[in-house]
Amino acid sequence: METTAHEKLKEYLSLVELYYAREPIIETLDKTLEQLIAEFKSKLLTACKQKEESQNRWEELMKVFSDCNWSYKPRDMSFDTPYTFKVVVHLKAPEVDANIRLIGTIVNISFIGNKIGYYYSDTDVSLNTAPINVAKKQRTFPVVELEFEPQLSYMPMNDWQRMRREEIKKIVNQFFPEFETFDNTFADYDVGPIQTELGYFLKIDLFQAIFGTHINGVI
Amino acid sequence: MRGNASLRINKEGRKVKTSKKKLRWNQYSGTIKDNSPVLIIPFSLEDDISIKIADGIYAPYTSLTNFLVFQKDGKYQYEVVTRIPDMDWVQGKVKEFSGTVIVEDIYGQFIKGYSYKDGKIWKITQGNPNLRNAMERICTYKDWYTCYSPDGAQYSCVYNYTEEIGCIDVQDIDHDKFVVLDGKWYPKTGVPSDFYTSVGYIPTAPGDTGPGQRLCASTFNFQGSFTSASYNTNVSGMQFEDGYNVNRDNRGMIFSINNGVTDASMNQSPFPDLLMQGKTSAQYLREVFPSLFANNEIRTTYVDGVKVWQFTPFAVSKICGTTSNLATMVVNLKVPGSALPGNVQTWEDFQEIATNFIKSFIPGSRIYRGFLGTSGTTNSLAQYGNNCP
Repeated sequence: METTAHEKLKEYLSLVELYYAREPIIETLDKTLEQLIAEFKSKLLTACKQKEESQNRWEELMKVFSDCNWSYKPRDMSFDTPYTFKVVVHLKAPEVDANIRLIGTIVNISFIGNKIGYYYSDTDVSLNTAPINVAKKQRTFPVVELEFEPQLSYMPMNDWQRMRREEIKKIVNQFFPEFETFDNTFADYDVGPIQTELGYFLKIDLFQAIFGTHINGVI
Repeated sequence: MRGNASLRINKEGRKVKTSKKKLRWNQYSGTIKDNSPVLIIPFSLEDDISIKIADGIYAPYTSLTNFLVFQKDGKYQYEVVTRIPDMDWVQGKVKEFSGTVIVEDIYGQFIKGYSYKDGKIWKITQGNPNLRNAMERICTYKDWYTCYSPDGAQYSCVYNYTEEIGCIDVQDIDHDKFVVLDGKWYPKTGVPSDFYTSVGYIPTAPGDTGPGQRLCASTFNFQGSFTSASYNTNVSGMQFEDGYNVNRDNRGMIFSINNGVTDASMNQSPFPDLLMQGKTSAQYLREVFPSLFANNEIRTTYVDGVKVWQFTPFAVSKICGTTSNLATMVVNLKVPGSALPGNVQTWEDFQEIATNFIKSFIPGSRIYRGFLGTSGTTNSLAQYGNNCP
C-alpha cells in the first residue's frame, strides 16, 4: 500500500521523538560521562551499536565506490557520527575540470529508523536554488554563524548528479537492502529543539536530525 | 539596602587595585559592533582580585574583564567591560547568559551596566522592576576577594570589601535614569546591543593561552601517512586555567582532520573566515606554517588526475596545536570565567571556534565534543608547556 506524504512525514517525526529528547542534557561536575550518556534515549544508543555491527558491509560498499569508473576516490566520513555511515562520492564529469569545480553526491546511511539519505554538492553555487540550512545551537556570544551552506542542496543541482542518482541508489541498496530511502521532500522540515550527541540544537532539520549535522561537499 | 552589618563598603578599592592594567596588545582579538570594528585587548594585573561566583568558586577580575578600543567620531574610545556570570550560566543550566555586565571608562568610572536573568535584561541602575519599590536606594553590590595559591594546587580567598556599583538614590528619580510607576521601578530604555557578536582580526602568531601555557603539538597521536584519507584522535585532559581555577573537559575533544584535500577546495576562501584576511586556505597555510612546506611536511600530488594536498601526522599536529591555541585565546576573551570548573560554555564555544579555524587551514575538518565518541580514532592526552616545540 502506498504511503501518503502526510504519513511519511508523520513517520519521520515519530523517529525524532523516539530517538531524541526535547529537553537539554545539563552537564554538571558531579555527573560522570557514563551518567550523561545514560540520559540519552536507549534507541539512540542501540543505533550506535548497530552501526558498529555493520562495519564490514560498509567496507564492502566502499570498495565498490572505489572501483567506479564514473567517480574519483570516495571520501569515507563515517567517523563523523556514531550512528551513521557517510561517503562523499566525487563525480566525474567529462566537461568539467575537477581541479576547478567539484561535484558530488553524499551518501548517508542512518541507523535511526534504517534510512538512506542523499544530498548533493557543487562548487558552482550559481546552480543552487535551495541551499541546505545549517543546524543551530543556542549561543550566548555567537561568532559569525552560517545561515546555510551555499554549495549543498537536498536536490540534485546538475545533470551528472541526476544521471548517477539511480546507479548510486542501486549500489547502496545492494548492501543495505533493509534500509529505505529518505524522502527529501521533507528534508528541510524544522524539528528543533532536540538534544543530539553533539549538543542541544534549537533549529535542526529532519535530514540532519536523522543523518547528522556535519554536512559538507567534496573536499 | 543590603542587610549585612559586616560589609566593608569600599567604592574605590577595586578601582585602585585594577587601575594599572598591563595590556597585552599582541594578543588582541576583534569584533564588529554597530558596523564598526572593536578591538578586544586582554590584560594582566600585578595582583589580581577575585569575585565570588558561588561557595568556593572565585573568578579573577582579569578573566572576566576585557579592555575594548573603538573609534567614535574619528577618535579612539576605550571601555572596560566586566562580565560576571552566575552559576546557572556557568553550569549550563540556562542557555542564555545569566549574570551581570558592567561597562566602565579606563578610570574605572561606571558608564552602564546590565543584569541578565531568565531571558530578561534590565539596567542595573534600575534594579529588577519586580522586586523593588520607589523608596529604596538602588545599588548593585559586588564582593571582592584576594585569592592565594601557596602550593599551586589549592587556593583560598579572603574577603576584602564590597563595592557599590551604579547606585541611584531617590532624588535621582528626576535624572532621567528610570521611571517609577505604581511604586515600582521600570527600565526606560530597551535592550542593549550585543557586546560580542563576531570574532575577527586574529593575529597570525598565537599568544599564551592560559597563564603562560600552550597546548603542545606533541599532544596529538595522529596515525597515518601522506596517503591517509583522514586523521582522527580523541584528546582527553584539555583544560582552561586562570591561575586559580582549572576547567577540565570531561568528555574528550575529537580532532577530525581531512587529508588528500583537493586543490580546488584549498583554493577557496573559508566561510566563515575567522582570520578575516580574505585569503584562501592554501594561502593561510603557507603564511602561518611556512616551515611545514620548507620541511616537506605538506605536499601536493595528483591522484586520479586530481591535484590534492597531503599532510604528514606531524604537519596535522602542528596545525591542530596552533588552531587550539588560537581558539583558546578567543574563548578566553569571549567566555567570562572560562576557567571556572564546570563552565560548559567554554567547551561549547571552543569546539565551534576551533572548528572554524581548522576549516580555514584544512577544509571540511572538524573539532568537536561528542557525548558518544566515535570509532576509528586514536587516544591522545593533552600536554601543556610554556615553550612547546
